[in-house]
Amino acid sequence: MAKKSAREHILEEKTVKSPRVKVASDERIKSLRTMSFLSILIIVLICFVFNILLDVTLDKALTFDATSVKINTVGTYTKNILKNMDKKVEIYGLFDKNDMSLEWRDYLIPILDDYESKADGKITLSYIDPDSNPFIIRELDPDGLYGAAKKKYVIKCEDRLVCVDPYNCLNYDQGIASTSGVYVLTGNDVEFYFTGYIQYITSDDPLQAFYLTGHGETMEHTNLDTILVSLGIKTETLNLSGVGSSIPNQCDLIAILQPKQDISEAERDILKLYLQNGGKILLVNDFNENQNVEYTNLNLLCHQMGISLEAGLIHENDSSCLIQSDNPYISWGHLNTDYATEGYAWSAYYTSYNRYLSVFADKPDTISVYPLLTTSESATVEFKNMNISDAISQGTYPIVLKGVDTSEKSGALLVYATSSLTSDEYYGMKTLNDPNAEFVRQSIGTICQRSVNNVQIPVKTIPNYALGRPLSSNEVTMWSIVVMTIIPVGCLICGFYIYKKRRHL
Amino acid sequence: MIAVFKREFLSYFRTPVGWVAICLLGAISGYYFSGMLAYSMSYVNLAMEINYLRTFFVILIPIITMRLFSEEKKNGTEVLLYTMPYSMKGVVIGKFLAAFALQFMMLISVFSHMIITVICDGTINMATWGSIFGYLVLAALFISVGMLTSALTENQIMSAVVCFVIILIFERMASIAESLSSIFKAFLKITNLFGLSDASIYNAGEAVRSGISWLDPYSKTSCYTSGVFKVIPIIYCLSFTALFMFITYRVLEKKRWSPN
Repeated sequence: MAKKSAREHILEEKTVKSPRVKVASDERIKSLRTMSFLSILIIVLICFVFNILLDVTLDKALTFDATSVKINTVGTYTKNILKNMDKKVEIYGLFDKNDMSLEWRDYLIPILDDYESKADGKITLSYIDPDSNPFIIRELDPDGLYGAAKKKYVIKCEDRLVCVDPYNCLNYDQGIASTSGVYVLTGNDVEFYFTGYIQYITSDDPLQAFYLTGHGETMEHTNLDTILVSLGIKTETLNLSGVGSSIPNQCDLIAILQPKQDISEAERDILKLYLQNGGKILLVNDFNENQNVEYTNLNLLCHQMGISLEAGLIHENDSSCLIQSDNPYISWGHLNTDYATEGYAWSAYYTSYNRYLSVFADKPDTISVYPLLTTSESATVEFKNMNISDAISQGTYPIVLKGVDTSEKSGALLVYATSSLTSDEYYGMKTLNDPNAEFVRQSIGTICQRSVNNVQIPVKTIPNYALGRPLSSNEVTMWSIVVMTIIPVGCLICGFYIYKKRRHL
Repeated sequence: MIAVFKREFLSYFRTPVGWVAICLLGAISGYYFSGMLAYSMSYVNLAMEINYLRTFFVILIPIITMRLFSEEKKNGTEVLLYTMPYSMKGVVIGKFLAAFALQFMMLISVFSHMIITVICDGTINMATWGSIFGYLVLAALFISVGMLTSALTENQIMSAVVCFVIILIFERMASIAESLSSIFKAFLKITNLFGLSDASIYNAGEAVRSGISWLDPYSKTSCYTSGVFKVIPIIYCLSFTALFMFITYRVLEKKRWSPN
């Protein structure tokens, strides 16, 4: 038998002396420990289950929009659209929902949650980060036709798809941006865009528009695409310069945007026939860029619809119509309420470098021409290489002309004298709730006989955090000293004083 | 409880801890605020400032909670706590309220910024108040975490370090979720454990990510900054605060009745 150590002797003695006390104490500790462990486990489980259940069932019901303009809540118009919607819509946010670096995050996520909750299950909203699921973009937009990309939203209904860039849904203060280069958010247009897109992708009969290509036309027409989509018109490109080219059977509109070259005779004939058969054409001019181009064939095509493109530039002489007091070529265009009767909400529209358009003198009898947008009464026209004194007489000149075939076929030609109604450059810092976008939507909607579902959702004002009065540099210095020095140092001195007084206590 | 609260709250100001904490937050928020004032258009959004201050919980909470129980052990006064004629619940709640009151007092700098903003015709709206509310709810959760770490360890530094790590994990929850999700997906793909298709592996990984992200109190309470008032994040934070306080209570009870 091995010799016992002194410690073992003592332990043995203790056990012999008080066996009952030891057993009772052990059991008590054990039971306390078990009880403690079990109670913690049960409370942890209850805590998790309770929170998960609440999150799943009541999260939407217990969410309230506390902002004064209800920036995170959909309005009555959208509620009605969602209520009457008979198709299922999927909305995908292609980014990490928790990525706090996305500056527009707080303006989109809450209101889209509201869309989902108000749609009674007809809208499903999910956030998938392409970084963690690289296949998602290929899955949604296999041919890359719709521009689905990271940090964008995709709205899908059956086989139709729309891609939304969140930046387009926000308004910035143009004045501040142009003077200081700082982009200050002023308006939230998320509801306007998303409701418009949802209306489009759930509509039954989308029209088809084609952008003519092959003549240096601008390819920057993202905003026009969006405007057309909001009218239920999907877009593709069309090149008629090849041998045997023709216009597809389903073509509801052809858009010719700021061409840098004239069209060929063959193209002119194809387009002429298209118009004769009831086709619709939109022609957008950019005099500033293309003032030296001779549009012989294009002009002959326009003559067919009673419109003539002239090589002159509109000069606005009414100072009250000028947007920049020193630039007579950038001015407000006035809505001609004699012809533009319904649906136009604004009376003045931003126009720049307007080409001189006129009504063709020998137009066919069946053609009627309507000036939709005009200059003031004191505008003149400058011709190339001429002085202002050589300008033709003062008067009202058209900025937008609409030529309509009043015969059975009802073809139509819409000519914009300026690119500022459609160009991406103009819409760079605006949203499509802008008056110009509204004008384009209304005028195209009319020639395509498309009932313009004018999405009447005003821009929601984002709180303006700029101080009511600009601070002088002295004031900024003073307040900086107060907040950065006086308050913290005051606290520190107090702490030091108390520490010195009490350190020996 | 009130006696514990009074003693604990006043002790913050009888030592430099409370003053240093207020000074620290004052300096950080002051720096941010003066930055906004000096911005080209004096664009002052206090909700952003409060949102920014949340990232400093990771430093401030350990400072104010590390001493809650560790200090008692160090001074040998823990026996007084255990032998006092009232429940340990009162002690836990009293100490929690004291730390929370200090955290609230630390916002004095933010309140002074609000006054300056009003003087300069700035905007104070629901987003500002919502941010303060979200800040306090989050502070309550992290104070309870800090209190637990203080009760678990005898060393103040150790308590602060553990608390720092836990809050850091909470703060980085989104990226942790992302990484764990990727690891989980890679693991399933390499081992081909259940013969899952790519889509199923992706869904499983996403489930892991969503599960971990769900715990993130920062993203849960970020809605208040945009003026959205959600009840669920409050319940989440308060229920987990209560949970950590309960665990603290159980730890102290165990120590109270432990023979060693």
